[in-house]
Amino acid sequence: MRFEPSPEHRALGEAARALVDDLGPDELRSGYEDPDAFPWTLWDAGAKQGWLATLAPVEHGGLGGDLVGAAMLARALGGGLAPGPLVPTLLVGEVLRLCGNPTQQAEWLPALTRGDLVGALSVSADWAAPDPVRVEVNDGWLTGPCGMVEYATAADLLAVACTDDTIRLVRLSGTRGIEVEPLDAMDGTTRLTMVTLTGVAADRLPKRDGAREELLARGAVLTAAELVGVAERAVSSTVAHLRSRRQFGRPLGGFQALGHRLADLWTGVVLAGHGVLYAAHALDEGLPDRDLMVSVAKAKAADVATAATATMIQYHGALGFTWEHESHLLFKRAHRQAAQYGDTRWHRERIAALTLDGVR
Amino acid sequence: MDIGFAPEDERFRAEFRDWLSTAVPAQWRDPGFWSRIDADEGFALRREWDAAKAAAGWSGVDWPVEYGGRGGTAVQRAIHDDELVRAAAPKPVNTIAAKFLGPTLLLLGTEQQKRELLRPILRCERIWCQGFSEPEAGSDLAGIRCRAVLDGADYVLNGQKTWTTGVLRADWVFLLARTDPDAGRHGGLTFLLVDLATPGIERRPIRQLPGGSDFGELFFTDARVPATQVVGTPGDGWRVALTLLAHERGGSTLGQYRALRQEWDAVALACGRLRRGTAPVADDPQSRQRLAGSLVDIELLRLHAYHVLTQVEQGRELGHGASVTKLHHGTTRRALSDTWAEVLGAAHQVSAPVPGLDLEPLRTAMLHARSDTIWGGSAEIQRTVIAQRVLGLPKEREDR
Repeated sequence: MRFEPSPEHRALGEAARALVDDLGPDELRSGYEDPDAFPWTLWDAGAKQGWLATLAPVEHGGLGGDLVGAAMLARALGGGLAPGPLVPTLLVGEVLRLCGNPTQQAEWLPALTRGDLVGALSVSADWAAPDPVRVEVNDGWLTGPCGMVEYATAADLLAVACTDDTIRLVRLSGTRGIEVEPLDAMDGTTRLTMVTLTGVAADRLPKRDGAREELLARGAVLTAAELVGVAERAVSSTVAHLRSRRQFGRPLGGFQALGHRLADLWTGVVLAGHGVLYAAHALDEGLPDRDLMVSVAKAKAADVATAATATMIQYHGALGFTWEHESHLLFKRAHRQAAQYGDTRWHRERIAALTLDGVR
Repeated sequence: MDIGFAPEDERFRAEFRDWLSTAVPAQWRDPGFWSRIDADEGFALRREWDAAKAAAGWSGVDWPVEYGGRGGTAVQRAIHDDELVRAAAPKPVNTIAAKFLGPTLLLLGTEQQKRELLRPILRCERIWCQGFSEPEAGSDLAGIRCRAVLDGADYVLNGQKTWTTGVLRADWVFLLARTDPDAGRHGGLTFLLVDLATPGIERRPIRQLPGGSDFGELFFTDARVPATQVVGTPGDGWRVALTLLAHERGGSTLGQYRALRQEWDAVALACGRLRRGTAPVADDPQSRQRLAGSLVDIELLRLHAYHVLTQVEQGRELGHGASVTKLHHGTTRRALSDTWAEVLGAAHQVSAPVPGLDLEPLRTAMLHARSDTIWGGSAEIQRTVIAQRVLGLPKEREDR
């Protein structure tokens, strides 16, 4: 029994966090309210450190790593409030690794791995959207709403799960029929867009059963990992504040109501971290309880991140309600990611379907 | 990452499972069996079964062979606890001694104490209870008033213990008594082993919330305890108690998970049989959300068990992290109790809401769940430990 990340996995996360802490804050602040901003400095530095190569096969320039390592990376980026499309770009790489033929892999994977291409993804129907996500294929041409897509304004390659159970790749620049509408997302650490396709040319990847579910599962785990990072930072920042901030002649952290709440949240962070670690490992190894445990991890991480960031605002008092303070950045990111790749209600319903519907 | 067990541990599991498959009578596996028979008769059956298990070499899994144990590892003990629950084996009768007193004696007991006390624990020849709580010392354990005064070769014990689990069936009690009232709150306590047959000891049952009397009161009036029956040294009882409570808080997380998952499964099964309106409860979207929410925290307890086992295998101290285990188990089981009451609606009140569905064991368990955030250091105490010792928040009052 060795239920913990390896030293290499840990080092991956630590190096990424150091880089984000170094470059992230400036880039984050300068671009937070700019609809066209893209964190190029951090993106390039991260690519140099190998972030985008984490999961890709070695023969295509990748590191051939596992999802446990990618989850450590994602946790570091969540905790560092890193802006940018790490998760969608990694997932476009996963689409190619899982479904692509050798020619397609050779064409796209090396560039994705180097960070030369930015990936975007439409695989999930569970984002609330004005129209249901539904992309149909007619004679190879794609038509329909893709729903909310991260960074479609900056991305080069969009992977779309279509109604015929195929996944197709759309080149976002120079292709006709693509409408990308920027949305004023609450969370400025991403760029949300609404993408609609009308007769768009695309590359068809060989059909693979369950590919969409594979991607959703990976997206859920990596997003859960980022949420754990967000929650962990919210707890540790709040603890630091409660230790130093004095009112009534003593540190606020000495008040039991506050300490007990923090103890609960910290416990939640520990457990959500276990959930992410197990779910990533379960996907790596194809364990029989992988679907259940992916949903367990995502549901818990979302709950603890939204709770921890809300508490962070509250326990910082008026300071926590200012734009200047980082509380709102964490809070808004927690809420955005809680809703991605299946929100908590979606995952709970899936848990119910996997457990309750089999016992009667 | 390796969430598997070593081949020798899997062999241990297979052998124990094999033994259990014939050792547990089929009718005992029905949880309703134990609620239908008389409590004393049930205890006698369990004591006999537990002793037979020890005789077969399946008790004291991680205790040294020289003291009657199996000489195995902590991981094998966790597997043992897990398999015991899986097989619906009778609940062990000497838990408090097997899980807490025994390991404490192994760490802090004298050679003679280990030789005399450990084997009878495993064989259920001597059933123990724990005398910590007093009317004025619950969460504030250091508030103990029970006095032990040295008189010749004996301590003379006066005072009261209460909410003592298993007191009516126990043969002996281990307790904390104040031997030096001038040595401060934590300083003057001594950890004593006391034969309940000693003159001057009276026991009274206390009826508990679920209806039975698993705990009670102990009264000491000039009860004489040989001064040799101290664990550790006189005045060092607080440290001994903390060593013991660390075992209580680390517990056997895998076995706890297994039991909790079985309770969730029982709730889920009932939800398939009972109806809300015209459809089964299990089809009601809100009930599904509640049940799934409970299962999230239950499955995370399993992963926490893996985490704890990893620390154990790597030879790391659990330290105050044990409070996380205690807090999460207690709050999760209590939350399942809330879920059980909500999703079953009025049906949770009765033991047989529809023919053929015996919910009595579940009802008792879900009422017992209210105590999981109280015994062994309440959830509030665990939160204080985590806030101060793990997160480094200041003490509530600086004048202590």
